[in-house]
Amino acid sequence: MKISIFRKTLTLCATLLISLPVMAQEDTLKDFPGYVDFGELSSIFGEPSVQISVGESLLGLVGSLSASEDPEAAELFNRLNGVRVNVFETTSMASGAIDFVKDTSAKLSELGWESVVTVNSADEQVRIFMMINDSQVEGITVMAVEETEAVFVNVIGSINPEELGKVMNNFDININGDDSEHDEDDATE
Amino acid sequence: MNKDDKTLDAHFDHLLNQLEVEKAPASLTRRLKRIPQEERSDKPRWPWLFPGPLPKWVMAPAFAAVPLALLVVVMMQPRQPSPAEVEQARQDLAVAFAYLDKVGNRTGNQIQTVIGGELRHSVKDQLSEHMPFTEQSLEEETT
Repeated sequence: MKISIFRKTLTLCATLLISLPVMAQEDTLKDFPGYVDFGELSSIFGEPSVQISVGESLLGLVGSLSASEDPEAAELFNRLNGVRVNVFETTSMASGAIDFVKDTSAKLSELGWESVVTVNSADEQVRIFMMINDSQVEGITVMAVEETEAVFVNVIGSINPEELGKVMNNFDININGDDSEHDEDDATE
Repeated sequence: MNKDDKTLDAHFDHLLNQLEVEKAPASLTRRLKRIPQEERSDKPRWPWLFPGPLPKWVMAPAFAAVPLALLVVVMMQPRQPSPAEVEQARQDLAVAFAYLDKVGNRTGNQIQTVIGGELRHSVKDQLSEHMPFTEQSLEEETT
């Protein structure tokens, strides 16, 4: 009995210690105006298929390492505080998803985020928000929910949108694994 | 004291000297030696804090605290990420930006569906000034 209590205490302490660095990283990001707390996404969309959280220290290192091959990207990474991505694959529009996007959008607007893009249809909800202070973008938040996928992105830090576009073009990665996006574009033309 | 008494005393002394000291059993000796230690440990160290006798498990967290404190110190040290972690972070960033790009493209397509191809240009030109990641779909479209 006594050993059981001792083990439980030890397990609890160890769990707290292991989660300390993660909590500390999230806590430091929370202080930035560009941070967005999406809340409990998994309660609506289930387990994420992609979950990315890159903090300031790693961004700085990536920036310094890519300084020679891509100075623009390095410059951008050094000014970013964090990049968070949550992607959920769904088979149909998740129950409560549209309400969640609308509620979160309302909260962001109250917090001073500026709505840049809104797509509001029954089968697709897209919201892009920017936190702008003194003509400087301090955060970008993207919420894109459709029947097969829900994407939540939060880029935190001092962002020059022009730089962001150039850096994105330099990253050659196809997350679909095919040319469906390009085909769609061609087809609609 | 008369002579008879003295003789009797001497006789008793003689008889007592002849007696051997009886040794106590080993178990009894051990038990007797343990008594002062047990009495000492039963006394509460801080009677104002713990009025009763302390249970033995009270000291367990104190012993556990030492390695845990060491672990905290080690974990709080700023750790240099390994090259593999940096490369992983770079790939994560590429994926993150790819999703941003994908949403931008999807939004551009949606604008075209709703308002038509011609108007899309004027809307997206304005949009691209603030959101360059919608630019790429426009570039792809024009090529």
